[in-house]
Amino acid sequence: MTLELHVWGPAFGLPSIDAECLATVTYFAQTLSAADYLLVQSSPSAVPSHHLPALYNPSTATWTSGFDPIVSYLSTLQPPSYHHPDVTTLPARVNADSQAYQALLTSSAAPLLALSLYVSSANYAETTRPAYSAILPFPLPWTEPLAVRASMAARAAHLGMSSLDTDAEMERLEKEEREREAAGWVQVPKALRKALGQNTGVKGQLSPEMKRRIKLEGLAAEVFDVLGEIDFLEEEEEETTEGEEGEGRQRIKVTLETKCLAFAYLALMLFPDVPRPWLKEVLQRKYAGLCEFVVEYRKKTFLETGRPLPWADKETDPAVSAADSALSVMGRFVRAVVDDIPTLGREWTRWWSLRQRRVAEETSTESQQLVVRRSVGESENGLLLAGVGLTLMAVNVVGLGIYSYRYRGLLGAPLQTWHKPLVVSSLGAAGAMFAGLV
Amino acid sequence: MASSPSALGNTVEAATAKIDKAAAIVTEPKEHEPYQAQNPIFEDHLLAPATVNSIEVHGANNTRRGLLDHLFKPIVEESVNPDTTLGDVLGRISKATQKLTRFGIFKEDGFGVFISDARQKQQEQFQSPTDRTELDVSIRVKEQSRLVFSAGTDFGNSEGSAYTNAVLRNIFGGAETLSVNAATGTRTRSAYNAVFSTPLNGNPDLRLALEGLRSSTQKPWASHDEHLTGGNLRLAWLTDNGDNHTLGYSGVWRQLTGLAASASPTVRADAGDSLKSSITHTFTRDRRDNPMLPQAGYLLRTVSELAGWGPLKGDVSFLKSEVEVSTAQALPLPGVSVGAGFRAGLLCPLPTGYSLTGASVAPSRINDRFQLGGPTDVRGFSLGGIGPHDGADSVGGDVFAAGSVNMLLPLPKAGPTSPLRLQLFANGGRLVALQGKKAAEGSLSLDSSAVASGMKSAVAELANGLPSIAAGFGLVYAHPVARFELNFSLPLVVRRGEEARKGLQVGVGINFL
Amino acid sequence: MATAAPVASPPRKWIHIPRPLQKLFDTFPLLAYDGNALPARAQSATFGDLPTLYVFSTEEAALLGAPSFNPSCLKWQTFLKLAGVKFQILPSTNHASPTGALPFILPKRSSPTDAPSPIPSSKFHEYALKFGTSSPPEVPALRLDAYQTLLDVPIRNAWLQALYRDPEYTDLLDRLYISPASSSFWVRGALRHQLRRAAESEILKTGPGGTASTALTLLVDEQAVYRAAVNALEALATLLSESNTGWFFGAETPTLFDASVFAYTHLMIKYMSDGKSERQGEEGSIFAERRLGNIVRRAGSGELGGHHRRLFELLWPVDSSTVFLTDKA
Repeated sequence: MTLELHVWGPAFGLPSIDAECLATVTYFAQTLSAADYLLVQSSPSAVPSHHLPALYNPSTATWTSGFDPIVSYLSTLQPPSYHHPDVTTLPARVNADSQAYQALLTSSAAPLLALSLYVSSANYAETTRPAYSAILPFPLPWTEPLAVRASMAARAAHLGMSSLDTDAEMERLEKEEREREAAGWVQVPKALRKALGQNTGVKGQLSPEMKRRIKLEGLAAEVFDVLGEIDFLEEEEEETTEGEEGEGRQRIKVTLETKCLAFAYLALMLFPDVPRPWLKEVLQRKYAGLCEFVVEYRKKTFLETGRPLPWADKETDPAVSAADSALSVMGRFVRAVVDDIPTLGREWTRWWSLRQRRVAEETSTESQQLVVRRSVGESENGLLLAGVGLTLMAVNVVGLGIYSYRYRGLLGAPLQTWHKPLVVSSLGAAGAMFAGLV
Repeated sequence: MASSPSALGNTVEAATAKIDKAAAIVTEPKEHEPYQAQNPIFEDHLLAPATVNSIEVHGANNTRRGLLDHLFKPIVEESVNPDTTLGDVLGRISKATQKLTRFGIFKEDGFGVFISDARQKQQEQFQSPTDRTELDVSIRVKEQSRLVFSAGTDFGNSEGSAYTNAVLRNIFGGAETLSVNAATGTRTRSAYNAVFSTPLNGNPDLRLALEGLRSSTQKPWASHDEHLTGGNLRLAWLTDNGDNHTLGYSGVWRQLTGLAASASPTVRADAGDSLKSSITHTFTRDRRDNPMLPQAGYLLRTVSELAGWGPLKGDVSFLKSEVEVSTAQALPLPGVSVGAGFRAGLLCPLPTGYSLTGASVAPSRINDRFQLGGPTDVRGFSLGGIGPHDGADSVGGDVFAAGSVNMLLPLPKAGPTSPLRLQLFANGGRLVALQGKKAAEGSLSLDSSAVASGMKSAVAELANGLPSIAAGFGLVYAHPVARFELNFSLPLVVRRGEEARKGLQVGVGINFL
Repeated sequence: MATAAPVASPPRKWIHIPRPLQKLFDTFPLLAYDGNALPARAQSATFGDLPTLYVFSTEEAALLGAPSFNPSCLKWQTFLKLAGVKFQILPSTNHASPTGALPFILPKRSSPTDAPSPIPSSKFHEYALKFGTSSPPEVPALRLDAYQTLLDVPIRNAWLQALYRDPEYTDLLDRLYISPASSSFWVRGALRHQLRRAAESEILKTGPGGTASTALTLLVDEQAVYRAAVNALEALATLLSESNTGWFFGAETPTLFDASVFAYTHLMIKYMSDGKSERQGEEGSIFAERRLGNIVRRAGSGELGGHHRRLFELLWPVDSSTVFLTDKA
């Protein structure tokens, strides 16, 4: 049995560009032997769950996606193919702490990473987008990175740092200006406006990252301070930390999963070579411990093992070549374009992904997947059908309208005439005689 | 304007000559009494027996025959009756063409009516010509363009807005109109509406309209925004004496949201959703000579609304009615006139369901209550300046009465013909909220007997003391689109919390008290 | 004169008014009566000697001071009670809030017509310290942030998933949030749809089961959401079992964190339990039944259930507790 792990492709000297995928790969590298699984470079549109990482178990035709679910799924497999980390011997406390820090990583570190790699226009344009272009088959780089960026921006929205997205910011400013002009209230000539100092002065020349530096550093510190509480490199100092309860600062131990996840986020903060390296700098300047962990962990997991990661060969592996065929790529591209249609596109995508998931579940031989009952939103197929029906009806009505307009038996004529009812004339001369009598 | 085929026969010459004149009259569809001003000789001709042989309508390319049938079929059918005179026929044709213009689908300048004597054209058909004149009527119309886009600015009461509008005219050839509007203004953040309206039974004075709307409006006098989503169905008709009735059903989802930080507890308590499902009747009799600058005549308007009672359902239930009377009288001096206006309204909360004496009655919400004061009603007060105030918010009231007297004088240089006037005014009003004992501790509801006694005391409260009064003078400019006023006023009587204004106030609007 | 302040007319600022005219102006209005009485609907909202806490609640429950049915309202209601702040409760909606979300506090009025400015929930902590009689202890920040995220992400997501997206709780959702807003079928439908979409996007934003969502993901992985919640509740139970005071992090008296946990456990136990809650099902069915209340009771060795009971009895004394604890449908 060979498991297929579908992940975003490698970038920045790391096995995956996406944190969750990277964490999964890291976890696999440490718990599975390379013969037991295959890494497939993919993108969300190629898997039924529309979410990477996704694990496919060919023996049961089961898809599992997301870091947590995949790790849980692995633990249900049998040991020959999977080396369980020693969970049972760990104190309950470690498991509990790990849950908490894992939640923290995904809820706080992820937005931070999103700010650095996706929201910041400079970083996105110079580093992230090219990296995506390198790992996606043409023409998907036109659609998928945009979708990723949009969802990342949504994740980071609550931090209130959208001004890092200078594209969006410029658009907003221009729009405001246009509105102001359209309203005709303030008509400041362009030249004068510059002099008024909208984009001049020291502040105008600072990049948005520099302006927001202090707040950004604060945000980063909040996350790194908490992560700093974790004793990541415990293996090396196992003996020393044992029994040091009495010492003032007790460091927190976590499970392998949590380490993998922490590594994934921190590595993507540290390794990419970005033009606005504020996050990297904060990390390097103040959190040497975390940097050390990331570098060490990478060395230990990927560089020093001597075992290359089991990437699927595009040429030979049937699973991969099918997914990467020109037809399938085109299909994914078209779906992404359709998704961009306002309102309807979203509804359609929702329906499509539901269908795909259902198909995936039905083909699966494991029944456990069906345990959770469907949520309400997902039984809205009827709504979609009704929408399609209504649209078709509307098209028909409009078509009929045009038809009857063209062949306007109904709709008017250049000359319309009313005659006196010919009661008289119809009787001819005799009738006319009677008419005279009446 | 009107022409007829050149008359050859002597017998028909006289007839065509008089028809020429008559046709000239007919083509003035706006004139109400076309025959009274004629000389007696002509009247003589009008009594001559005549009948319509045929009617031709040219240029109604996109107008359904079904619609035109309503106008012209009766005319040709009645022509079987032998007793019709030329006057009758011309009157009918005149009426029909007037109706035709009121559909609003034809250009005013493209109108023409041509009348000729059928007997000379179709000699062979009339073997034995009677002494009745047989007329061939030919009506030329030009249709207005069917799709019109427009954009511009608009003045409602104390609000300016910019709009874009698309009108699709005569959609199915029956004078149906679809009008789609988008507007944004000083107080309206955004407003979209679409109205489909159609005449019923081929009668331009009986129209059915279906409207869908969505808007978001700022209500700064009560620190909130109101979002509306809803629709209404209206039937409007014009009686023969020119009175306007509108009967409509409307269902609107109102959302009171976007409260300012300083919003009062009263406004906060009313924030949220409510659905108003109501039937409204509006009656308007406008006999003023000029709505913007009346010198003579009167206006009477009543609005009655029943919401939420019985089968109407919805979240609010009340009976609301409002009366407005205003009158003007020119004085013997040129351009000088005096006017007076009076408005009153009453909102009585009802229990939901069919019972009128049900145990619990929800008191009115802020978006149903009346607001009073402002440059277009009681001048000298800020918008919503009269009535109960909670903090800075004008929270409205359930009963109101307001009146004004004013005198318009021509300006020395501009004279009585210019739309500019000097105005002296005094106005005042009273807005009172319903009070009542709660049905239960902590509950919002009143019981119906408490409502009844509360309404009585609220009406009585109107007369308690002088109303809030302001007086002043100013300039009035009557533009065809809206009336502009610049007034200086001082408050004479106010109540604590009410927002009077000392000094200048600008008013722009269509309907002034 | 009462109207002097608001009527200051703008022209006076730039046109100098001669003194006699100014004096003349000041004599207006000639007569000022007392203010108008407020409408009937406003009165219960505007009078009272206590600051008002605006929460999601019902009229009857608000009168009794019963727990709110919204987690973040309940969290702060609990905390304010813990801090000994005296307040009255008013049922309200998000539309009434200055921040767009409940709860908030409107301080009591110093005069019948002044408009006190509302205090958003982000400032409640300081407010409680200022006006409360007892100050709940602060706990060391170590690990607190991490455990707080367990509440903010997986447990919240599970609550959203269950209440808003699970067809089994449609009736509950209607009863709590939809029916009070409007009696209209259409408005209810629209609100329900809006709420559901909002809940869905909230869950997706923090990722299925608390893991980062990548792209194009429109579907909630319900199983992952519930699994994450189960793990989170287990973790909280473990954390609590380490404390020997019965409150989290070994605090002497309940803290804000206890209030946050209570906000979810109370609502899950009250609204999402069934009678056979103590039955220990086989491992798979924990996701199958989706009864979050049962999951709470079962977490660890019942620590969370005990914590909930202790805190509830502390704040809502025994005589009323049976009324508030069971959900009367």
